[in-house]
Amino acid sequence: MRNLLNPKWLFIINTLPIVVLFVLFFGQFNIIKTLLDENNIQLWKSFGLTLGILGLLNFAYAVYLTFKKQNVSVWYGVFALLCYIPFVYLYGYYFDKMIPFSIPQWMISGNIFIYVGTFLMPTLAYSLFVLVTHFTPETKEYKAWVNFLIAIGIPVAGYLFSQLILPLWQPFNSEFSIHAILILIIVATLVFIFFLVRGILILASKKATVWQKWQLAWKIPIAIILPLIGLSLNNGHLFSGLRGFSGNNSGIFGDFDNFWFYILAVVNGVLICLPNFDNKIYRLLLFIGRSITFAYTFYFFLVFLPFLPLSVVALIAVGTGFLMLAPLLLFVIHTNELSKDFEYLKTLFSKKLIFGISLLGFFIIPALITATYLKDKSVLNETLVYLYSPDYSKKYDIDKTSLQKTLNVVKQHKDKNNDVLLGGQIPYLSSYYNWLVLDNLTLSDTKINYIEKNIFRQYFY
Amino acid sequence: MQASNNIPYYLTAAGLFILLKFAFTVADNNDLTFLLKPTDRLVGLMTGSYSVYLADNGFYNDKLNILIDKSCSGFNFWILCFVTFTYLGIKHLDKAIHKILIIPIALFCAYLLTIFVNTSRIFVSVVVQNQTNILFANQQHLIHEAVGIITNLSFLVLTYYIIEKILIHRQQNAKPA
Repeated sequence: MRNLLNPKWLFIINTLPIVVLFVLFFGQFNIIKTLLDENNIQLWKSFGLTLGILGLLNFAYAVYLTFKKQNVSVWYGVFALLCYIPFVYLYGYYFDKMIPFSIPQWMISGNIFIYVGTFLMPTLAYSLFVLVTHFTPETKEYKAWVNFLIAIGIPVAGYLFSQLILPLWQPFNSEFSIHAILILIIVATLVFIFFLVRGILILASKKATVWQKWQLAWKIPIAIILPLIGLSLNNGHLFSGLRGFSGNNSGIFGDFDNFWFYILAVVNGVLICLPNFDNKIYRLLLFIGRSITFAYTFYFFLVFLPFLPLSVVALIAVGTGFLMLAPLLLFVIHTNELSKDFEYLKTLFSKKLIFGISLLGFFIIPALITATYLKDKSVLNETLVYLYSPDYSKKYDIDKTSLQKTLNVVKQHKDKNNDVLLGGQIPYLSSYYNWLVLDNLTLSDTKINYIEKNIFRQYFY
Repeated sequence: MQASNNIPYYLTAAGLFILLKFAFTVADNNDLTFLLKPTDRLVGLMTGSYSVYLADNGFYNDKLNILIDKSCSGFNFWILCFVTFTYLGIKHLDKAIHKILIIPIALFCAYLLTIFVNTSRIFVSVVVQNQTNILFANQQHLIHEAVGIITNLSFLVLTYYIIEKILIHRQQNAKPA
């Protein structure tokens, strides 16, 4: 890979494109120069002179390295990026003054704006490559923190290149500078946070025995307290004034107000916090319990995984990130506990049996949810048959609670004034409900009205 | 490992990157359905909402009042992930066949990551913007952009870091020939 650091590449990626660029722009300048005023011509000269100097310096540097038989230095990457990025950016900024709108379009080469970005892009890409090559040595050993910086530096450099440098090859608007500043601020913040998190993890791993000794001190908050606070806060039972900063009345992340969410949070938390005694039956029962509630932990892990990056930033910024991080930490702890149980039990039972039990346990909650939904579907179908094509020889016993729940969901879908984002919606589960119970369909107002009138003796407007 | 032997693989990946980048400039919503459709389905699954596909505009979700179109397809993120994953694979793998295979594998893995990250970005943006639309009514575009940068960059760095750790671990545990 270091062959690419041969200075001869500089002639190809820098000198040649700049010569072609000069030829193209010289031709364009000759066509329109009579229509340009003094200021416009001054800009042409300034940009031409600057690019000429940059090109000549590159050429001289490449010749010098070729004679000295040296590779391209890392400083070339730094200086080239620092010189050419502002050049391309300033060119984009002053382009409308170099070629004013007063000049007839037919006199201008269609793609002249992108020429500069296109022809200088190889230099920018090569500079970045020089930096990456320098910071990913094949043999050299660095300190751990430098290795970490290098490890995260490559994707960060790639991101910066794709977001800040690559867009320069084509026209960009005035908001590009805001975009660039925003990216630089966030990149700096995230790199800092990555280092901070790494530092905390190193410190934590050094105190592993202390963590082990006082495990309930962190397990109880993560497994029981934070999930309960999170659910209460989300559902508006805690600090109701904060219930959605937008002022709406719904859960921020979804409608988790069903009491089962709270019950499962407590049961799950207690099961995780229970000590791992060396007792065969106790451990097996604990493993079964943890396997059953793992579906609950996994569900919230799925819901909150997208918030992982934001939660870390929120943690630093306002401290509330703890609540968003709790489901992710809980997932790690729960998986770890299951793994410990598995390791213990596999010495007492067959691996297949333990694995089968855990799999079966995992599907119990989803199976119960499915059974409840299927019951709702059956009640709805029974109601429709009872009202529209009744079998008079049969006695109908309609579960009104189940039917009311289904009607509420349908009404909620129909409520056009419902501007609440996730109002009444439970991530993933609502979609599953709509598919399983309603076949992704709805009921007409007339039918809802008819059902309510005949079953509940109510009227729907 | 002879690093200089890797140049053809790097150039192939870079060539594919440039090719895809140019393809994106001429692509429309129909061409990007392979990215837009799964993202839209996942957003719908998470939020319990539906969208309609309009060829000129993309996937319009009435409930969330969002449009998933070419500009938020995640295409640039996809090709960026592809290049970084390919770089990692070529750097840490030894056999030529593995280095060749890593290019399509990286393309596919980057695709899966893009669908997940883009869905996350849209979902988080919608939630955050919904919660801040009164306090920061005039800065919604900045919030949207900031959430996008944080989500994309964090997941990119995390994934890169984890894959590198796995590859280094694999190298260290490899039996000597």
